[in-house]
Amino acid sequence: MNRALIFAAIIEDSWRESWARRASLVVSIIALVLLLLFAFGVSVRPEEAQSELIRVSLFGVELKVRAIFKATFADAIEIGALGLLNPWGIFLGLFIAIGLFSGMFTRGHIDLILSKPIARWELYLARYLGGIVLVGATTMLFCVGVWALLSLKVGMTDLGLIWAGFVVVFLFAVLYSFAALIALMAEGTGAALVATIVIWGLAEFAYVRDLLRQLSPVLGSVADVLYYLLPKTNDLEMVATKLVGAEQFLTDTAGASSAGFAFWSSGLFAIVMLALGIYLFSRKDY
Amino acid sequence: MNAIEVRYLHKTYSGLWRRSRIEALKGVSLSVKQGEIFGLLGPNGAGKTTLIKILLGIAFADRGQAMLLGRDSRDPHARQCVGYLPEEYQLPEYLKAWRALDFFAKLYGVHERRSRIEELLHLVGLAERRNSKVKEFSKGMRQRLGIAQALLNNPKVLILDEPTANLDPLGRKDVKDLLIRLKDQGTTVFISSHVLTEIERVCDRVAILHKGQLLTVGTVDELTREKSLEDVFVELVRAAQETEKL
Repeated sequence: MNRALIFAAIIEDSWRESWARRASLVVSIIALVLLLLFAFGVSVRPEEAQSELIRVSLFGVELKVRAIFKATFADAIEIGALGLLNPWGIFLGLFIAIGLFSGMFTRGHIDLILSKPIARWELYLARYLGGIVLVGATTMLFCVGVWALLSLKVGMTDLGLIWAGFVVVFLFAVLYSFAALIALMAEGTGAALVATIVIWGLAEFAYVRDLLRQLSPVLGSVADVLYYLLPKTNDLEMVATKLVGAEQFLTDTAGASSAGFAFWSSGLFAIVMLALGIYLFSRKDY
Repeated sequence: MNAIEVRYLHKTYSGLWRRSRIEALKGVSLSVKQGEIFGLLGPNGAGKTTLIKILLGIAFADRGQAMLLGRDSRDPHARQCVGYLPEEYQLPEYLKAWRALDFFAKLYGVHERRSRIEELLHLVGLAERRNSKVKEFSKGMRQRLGIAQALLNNPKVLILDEPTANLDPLGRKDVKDLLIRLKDQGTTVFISSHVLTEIERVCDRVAILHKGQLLTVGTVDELTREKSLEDVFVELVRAAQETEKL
């Protein structure tokens, strides 16, 4: 039995289903339109006196501001792209991926799949990976597109945005592991999406735990527990921002943990959620 | 080795907080020999589908054992040589007929998928519609495609839950002929159906299930020596209902 073939088949099916639902098509069109707007709507002209400075035009109309450094322009574009990906891209990705994931559990469809010689953990994991591949591919294509256009326009070769894209996909995967668990338990997309947004909000809320502790020690303790239990969404956002070299956009880094801690503790959260999902799925009657 | 072996199978479905409990199977034991066509009869809610789902690892028994070709039914490998057509099912609507079969063939790990799919599309009369999307299919065509997906792995055991439910008389005849052809090839067929005449015509042995309990198991010849299968069925189920009232 070729396990790789089974995983590939389920991932491919996720892909086809998402295109059939037009959800992926809409997201891809949005990404493409943004790239085309940047490609043809934004043009830069080097300042004659100093080659590091540029003047920016929007649809042929030069902006009435002083010339800016190429690096500042690149940082602004990259942080803009990152701002689109997180939170909006992740939110859209969750919306699409949860729909695909819970679609597998519909009565009638799940009977057919479970009657095949595949273990339930394989099915759960493959469908989870299907969502990541789908969202990951769109995210990375968008990042590579912006990076390529920046390279053409201002000669930028820094790969920070592409690395930041991987961080966004990682953050999506972490949140999606929780969403998949709720989609399995609730057998519905809406509950999973709402619960994931609540968890995401709580993770962001826990980030200001120092401020909360000043308000009330109890509130501070609750925030501490939440911070250590939940994924480090804010810390990962900071890692991504730093990767594109735009630290100047970070307003407050006081409560941040190290990047390593943010990655492994968030990854551990995802592993626990996946293990719990697989355990419940393996015991569930259909 | 029997194709299917079920020993003292118990299954209870509990509602939220275990307030409501439905005993779907109450110690069912039966065995199906290799190469025979075995019919499972029973009124609605008898536990037929639950028994089938436990056999296929779709649901889990509380107690007892279910074996497929000598393997525990919870083991995914036990389903390697088993084909299944559920009573109610949903094929991937967004796929073309051949691609839907290709997807299931990959899950079975079928070698030479293309030729097997073509063969089955011809067998079920859908060769001309291989490139049509499933969502464009009528109920009968979906049922034919469902039968094709159940045969993809050339199963040694074929489990069919109400296989003729959505078929017209011609389709029913085709299914009956197909079952007989499969039997001739040595395939074991386990069929659950409400249509007693259908069971009577094709099955070697029959079991009657009522409210999770097996009322009888026997060959069609034994059971229909004096009465029709329909009469035997009605008599046994009514007797069971009377016993319950007492």
